[in-house]
Amino acid sequence: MAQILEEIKGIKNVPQDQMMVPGHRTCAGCGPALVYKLVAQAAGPNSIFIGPTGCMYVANTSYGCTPWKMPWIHSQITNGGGVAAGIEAAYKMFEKKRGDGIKPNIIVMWGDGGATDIGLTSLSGAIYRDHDVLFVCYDNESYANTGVQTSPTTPYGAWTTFTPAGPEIPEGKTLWPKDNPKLIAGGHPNLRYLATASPAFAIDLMNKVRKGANAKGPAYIHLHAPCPKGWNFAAKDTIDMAKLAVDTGMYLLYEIVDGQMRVTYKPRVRKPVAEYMRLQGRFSHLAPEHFAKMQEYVDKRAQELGLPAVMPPVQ
Amino acid sequence: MNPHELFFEPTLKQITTWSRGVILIKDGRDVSFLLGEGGRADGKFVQAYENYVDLPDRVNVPVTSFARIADEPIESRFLYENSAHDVVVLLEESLVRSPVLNLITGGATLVVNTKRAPEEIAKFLPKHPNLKQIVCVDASTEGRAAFTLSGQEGATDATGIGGGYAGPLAGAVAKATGLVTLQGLKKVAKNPKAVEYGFNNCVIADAQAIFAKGIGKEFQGDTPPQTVWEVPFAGTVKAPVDRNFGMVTNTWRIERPVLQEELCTQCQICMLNCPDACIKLTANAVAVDYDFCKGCGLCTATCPTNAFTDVPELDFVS
Amino acid sequence: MAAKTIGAFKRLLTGCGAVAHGVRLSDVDVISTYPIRPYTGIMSELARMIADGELVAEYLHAAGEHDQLSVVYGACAAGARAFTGSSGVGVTYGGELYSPISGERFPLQMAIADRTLDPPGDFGEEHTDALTFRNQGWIQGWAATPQESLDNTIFLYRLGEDPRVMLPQFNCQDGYFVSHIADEVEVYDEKRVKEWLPPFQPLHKLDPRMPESLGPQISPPSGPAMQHQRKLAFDNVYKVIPELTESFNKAFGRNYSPWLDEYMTEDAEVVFVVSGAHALTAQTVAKKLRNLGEKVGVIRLRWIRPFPTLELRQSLSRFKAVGVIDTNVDFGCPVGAGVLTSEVRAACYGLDNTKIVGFVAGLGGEVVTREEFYHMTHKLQVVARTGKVEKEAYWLPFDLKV
Repeated sequence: MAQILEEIKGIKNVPQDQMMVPGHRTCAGCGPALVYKLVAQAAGPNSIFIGPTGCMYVANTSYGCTPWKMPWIHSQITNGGGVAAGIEAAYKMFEKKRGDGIKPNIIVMWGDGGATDIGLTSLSGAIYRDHDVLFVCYDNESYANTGVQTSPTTPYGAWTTFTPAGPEIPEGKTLWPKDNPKLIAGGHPNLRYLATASPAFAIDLMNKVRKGANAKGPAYIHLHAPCPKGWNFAAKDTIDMAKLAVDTGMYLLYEIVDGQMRVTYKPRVRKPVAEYMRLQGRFSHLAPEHFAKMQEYVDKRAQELGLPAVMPPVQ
Repeated sequence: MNPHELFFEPTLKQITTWSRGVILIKDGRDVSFLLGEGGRADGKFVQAYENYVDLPDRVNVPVTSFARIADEPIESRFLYENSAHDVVVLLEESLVRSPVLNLITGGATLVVNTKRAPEEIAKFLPKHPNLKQIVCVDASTEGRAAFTLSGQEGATDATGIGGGYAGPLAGAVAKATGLVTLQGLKKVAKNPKAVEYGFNNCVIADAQAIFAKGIGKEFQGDTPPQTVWEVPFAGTVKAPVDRNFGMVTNTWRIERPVLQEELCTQCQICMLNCPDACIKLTANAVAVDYDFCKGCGLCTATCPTNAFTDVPELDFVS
Repeated sequence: MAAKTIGAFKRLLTGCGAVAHGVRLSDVDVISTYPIRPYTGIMSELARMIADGELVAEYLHAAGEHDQLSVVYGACAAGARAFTGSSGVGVTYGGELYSPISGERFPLQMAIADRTLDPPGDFGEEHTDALTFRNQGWIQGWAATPQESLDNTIFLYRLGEDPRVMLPQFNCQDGYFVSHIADEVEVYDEKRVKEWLPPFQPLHKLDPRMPESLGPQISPPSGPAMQHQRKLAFDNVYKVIPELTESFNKAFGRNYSPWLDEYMTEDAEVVFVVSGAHALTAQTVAKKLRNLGEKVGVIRLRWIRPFPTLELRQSLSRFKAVGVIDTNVDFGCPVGAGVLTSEVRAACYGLDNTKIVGFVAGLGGEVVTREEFYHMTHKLQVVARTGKVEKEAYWLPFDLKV
């Protein structure tokens, strides 16, 4: 990518131009819409966005209109990687054959259902082929656009319409989630940059997007995107929910550059997962043993990253 | 005989319920299904369904659902919405800011879930000549709003119908219009007491008498549905200049954030946290774009100086 | 481990809810799911039934529709009764699997709640998704009501698993109009269904106690015999459908005709041929026009594959003008309407006195109104009375400006 996007140093230096303008049919308090706005703001006008089917396609373009000031195309939920690769290849040829001059950032905004599940082959193939594309996954932990069904990032114990809790299945969701950043980082040695980010740390998020866009080759960013509809909490609590996810270790913030991993935020004290889970209706059917299982799972992952131990549970 | 006369269904009554996506949609759907099932218990021919085009619903977005009740089998079976409205039910008072009276039939009734009196609700309505009654009932006295994602998209609702706000509203419809009986509703509702509460406690007012006092907005005529004859090449649309007028969202608001300018330090945290990019810097503070603000409350929740207060939308008369 | 008995009941159910009950009553073993509007409700309902102990089945979250079809391919190969479903581009994404499933003679069932294909996204329905795969060797037909979609679920398992047939089935219904609008449905008692639908007895399967290799590579000389075998199976479907329809009607108190649901066709001058829910709208118009002395009838096609060539040709030979409703696209097809018009015309080749006109209506899920049927009727009446076809294909609303 020709232009280098500078690091944003402090909130007063956040670019004022919005690339995702008001006027879209996303939920009030929508986490994915919020991170999309930030990604677009960080990437700037010299960008082409690919929008696989999902909330960020349907809600944003309903009905026959658009909130994006940069070029954008709908792709299938299955093929964001392939479509992005095709655009990147075209611009490479324009440069080679015509010396065309412009090198736009090419950015896929994929939901978790696409990036970790039905579109995983497309994502992996595009990274393997070393395309200069930034792949962004906005993770709201479900197939939300179809009315909230389980995806591979839906947490253990979450109620979705495909994992309802009942006498036969008290947890609702029995499967443990995939770790897509680990999966992508572990198997693609040519990946230039990988990061996880959260709207609780918006400037950090935007700078990670810029690093990914600046990288000359494939980059992957996984964004936590709290979802008031799917997780069942009030719209005004989206940022608090994002912060709590990070402070409990339910969501981990780090980046990987040239194979080196760096934790970018460590909570000073780690809160028990119950403090996060009890605020969301999707976990309201769980019993103490389910919370304990989740705590154990989170503790193990947090330990791997050197996060502090969880503070004793509040009585 | 022209087709319009040929296909007219004289006994068909159409009840349209407006609600808010996610937070109140279950209750909205329940009103329609309560009235439908209640009508069935009364021996009528009925249909009840959500507005498919409104789904997937989004937090706060205005959504509609429909009940249709007739003395003969309903012939206009496969529509996306009611063709006209004999009764309009609002699950939440600030929905009066949506075009809820568009295409109401002569003698129509409006039922609103509110603590306010009919005259105050009327302030926000166009003086539609077809509106006969404004009915107010406070559904919240009989319980909390019901919430579930179960029961959407054609699946059956595992939690039963009529357990939240829907009961009192259906009861009010029965009292004000007689389109369903109280007995019919009580047979099918999860909380029959709540239905009875609505039936006995709703306040029914003469709409035209209120409008005659000068209360209400100018009526500019109905807007019928339009046939789409053409779309842009392959559906492709141009990028907006600075706002997308294809999806104006101010009718989503239940509350609006109001700024006390002297408390604003221009820290820009609210601007960063607004999912709809609705806040901009001004000379000394910030300003909210009320054409698009959905009232999500994130600016209020994250402002470090508590400069914002969330105020009910209907407390603003504009 | 046995499922909880619910017993028989009558309730307002959508097409989605009805199919879920049909699957429960059919005691399906393996279900593979993936969400896409408007069929998702079927799977949400099944998830709830399993969580509440009303159905005992393996419920897998597939990684997409191709994976969904792959899962049921495997399950059926092992000898299980399997179920899956999809809509729109989900149906096309599973495309690679339809021929292998049919060729391997796995009688699994796929519910399709129709949806228009991208681009762009549109939740409204067209039959295009399902019709695209009509040549893959699956039994295929449309239910017009939630009751029929429940009945077809049970019927199709019995039909598909018949040893003379052994073929997979597309159980189709109009997206939204049938899948989402509730209507009264009678759900049968479990025992009654069990009596009529025996357990699945595969003709080949994966079992260490009886090893065989399913699907070895062949070379061209074996080609004709491989395909001919399935052709013979389809010839059998043609015979078995009337037999089983009669049996089903008797067992469950229904009154389905095996191929054509004829409405007021006796002395009709003009007739509509429709598949799915829009036939019901046509029926209300026919009834109203009959009261005015106009002789209009409606024929609803229940099955598209196998296509009821002889029955339709015989029936349509009685009418001067026939209007076929195509709620699908087949750009550049013969005659310029859609799939059904081409097929009805092919079936009726030789009927010189029956003029067949195609009406492309309801695209993108747009409503087909009674007023539109009224105006289409008049077009057909002109054809019937003059014997002249001014236009062979009408695209609504453009060619029928009212």
